[in-house]
Amino acid sequence: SDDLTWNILLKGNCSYRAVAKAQKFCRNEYNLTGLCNRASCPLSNSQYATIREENGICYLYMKVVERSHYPNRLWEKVKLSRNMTQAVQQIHENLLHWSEYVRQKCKARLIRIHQYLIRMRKMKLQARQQKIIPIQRKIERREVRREEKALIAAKLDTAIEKELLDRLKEGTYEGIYNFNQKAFEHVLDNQELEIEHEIEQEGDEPERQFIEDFDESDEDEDIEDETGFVYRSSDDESSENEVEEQQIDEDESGDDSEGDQVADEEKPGSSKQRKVRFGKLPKKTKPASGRKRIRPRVEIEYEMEPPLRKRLTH
Amino acid sequence: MAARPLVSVHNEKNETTGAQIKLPAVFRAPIRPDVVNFIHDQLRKNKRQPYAVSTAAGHQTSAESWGTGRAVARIPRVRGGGTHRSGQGAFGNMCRGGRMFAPTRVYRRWHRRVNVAQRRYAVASAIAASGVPALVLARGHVIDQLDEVPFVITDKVEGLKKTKEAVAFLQRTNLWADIEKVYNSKRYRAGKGKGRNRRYKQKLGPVIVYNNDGGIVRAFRNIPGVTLMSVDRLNLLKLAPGGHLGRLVVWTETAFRKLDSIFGTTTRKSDVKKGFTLPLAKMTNSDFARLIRSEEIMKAVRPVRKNKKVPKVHRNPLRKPALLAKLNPYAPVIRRAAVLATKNEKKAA
Repeated sequence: SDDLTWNILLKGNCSYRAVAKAQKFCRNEYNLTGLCNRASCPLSNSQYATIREENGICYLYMKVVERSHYPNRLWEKVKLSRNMTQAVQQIHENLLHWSEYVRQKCKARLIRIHQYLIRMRKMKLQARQQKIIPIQRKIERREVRREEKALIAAKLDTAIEKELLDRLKEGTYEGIYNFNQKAFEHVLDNQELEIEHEIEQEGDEPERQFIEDFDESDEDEDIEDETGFVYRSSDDESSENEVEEQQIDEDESGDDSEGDQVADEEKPGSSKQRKVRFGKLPKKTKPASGRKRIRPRVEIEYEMEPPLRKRLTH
Repeated sequence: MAARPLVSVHNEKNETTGAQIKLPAVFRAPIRPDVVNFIHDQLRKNKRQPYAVSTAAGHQTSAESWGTGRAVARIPRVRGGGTHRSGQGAFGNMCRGGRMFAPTRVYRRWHRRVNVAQRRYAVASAIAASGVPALVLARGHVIDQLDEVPFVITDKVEGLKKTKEAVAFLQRTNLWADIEKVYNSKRYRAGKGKGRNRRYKQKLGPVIVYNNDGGIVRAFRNIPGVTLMSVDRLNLLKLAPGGHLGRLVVWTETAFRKLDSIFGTTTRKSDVKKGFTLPLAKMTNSDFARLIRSEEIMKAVRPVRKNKKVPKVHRNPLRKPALLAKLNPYAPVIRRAAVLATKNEKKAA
């Protein structure tokens, strides 16, 4: 029946068999040599013995035919002495009339076990901190990908941005800090959108005023170029006023001027605005310096540059 | 081993009741993995559903070959015009939109008939194998804590109604380790089966063979890995799944007793299976090593021949002076004279 079992296991499948290129191994924990062959197979030998080590103590396991149908009582466990020579003697006594092969291999296995136990003790004394653990490729790959996804899901950038802006609004930061140009403009955009909403709600612009023209400043600041074009420094307030004056009296080139206004606002640090005047148009009669000016002064300005952005204020 | 030992019956608490049953003769049937494998293959084909490609596939065109002389390949081409399809090749397995080579047909021979005697042989073999602990272990079952193989339990189990009780029973009798193995083995199937309602794969656990279903089927069927079978209808596909012998089988007492009447013994015919007696092995004693060394055989065998005659190797005397000397005793004399003569010549010169 042993032969029969071995035949079946050899040709068929044995769940304990692990095949390497050159050799077959047996993963059964009671196997004496660890190899898969006729004499070592615990399943196809009714009378078999092994040495196993648990927590540093070696035991001799024996099985006989008579108990082969009672799996939970199958293996007889004999504790071996800590002394190796005595243990070898014990093996010899217990396996006295057993097969040479089993007896021999048991003793050899015992010796090997003792050797590695000694080595283990030595290593413990050296207190080696490094322990080698195998990397499980599949798990590593999976975890890396999951970390990436978690990072994206956390939306750290937006959270940090929000936090910083909140702090800024609250005023925890005093003074001026250097901000990223793009971020600044981004925030400004958002703020202007907010302002736009506010303005639409308000209705009339409270800022509309009739102010005296700055005569001197006008003349002085007109710098004539060789080409004949007149360059005017970008003066936010005056340009604003002019525009509003125009709005009152004439609807002329509203887009241009307002585009002008817009352009001024958008580029605080940009080069000075070029405004082209095709000569000074006949203005309305200048009143005497003493007389108070009632009528607003009209100046029509033409721009070369097209409006870069759409009007925000309507 | 023709001896028939006694098998003790266990109760739900895993204690041995007094009852002992003589091992049914089926367990002594010859274990034939080749027979079981073949029969299993054949029987597994019987549950198949036909699959085939549509009969019209690839032929729903009125394509005709343009013949020779048109500087194109002679494959049939789609007629007409006004569409991309016109003039394209059709019908061939090499053509895009053509029919496949050897289209699968529904009239393929899906099922196999197996001789009744062979089927019975296979089942008997499978049952016998389930009584060999080595084979059960080799198949991968966890039976280290099991009390006995084959494992017989009282009929009370047939009356279990609740799965909870069933689980408690399995844990008590140390069969739960096998089922834990099943739990741990649940994994996704590789391949397209995932999307075809065959998503998971898991190992198989024990088979429970009963006589009367007093609730046992419903109690045990939801436990993963457990299969239920009635003694009267033993299924080879369940006893030897995959064609591999040695599935863990748990018998109820009546079912176990019934086996002798179902399969008969080597001497007695079966009561149920008409004209069936248990198959006999080719060798009653198959322990080859023991046989060779037995007295009877050693007596009949001629004694071992020692002192084998080794054939003499013939060497060439012309190249071996010793051999030449044996054949021609005067040869060394001639040779010696010649040697001396050359020596004297040299001296004189």
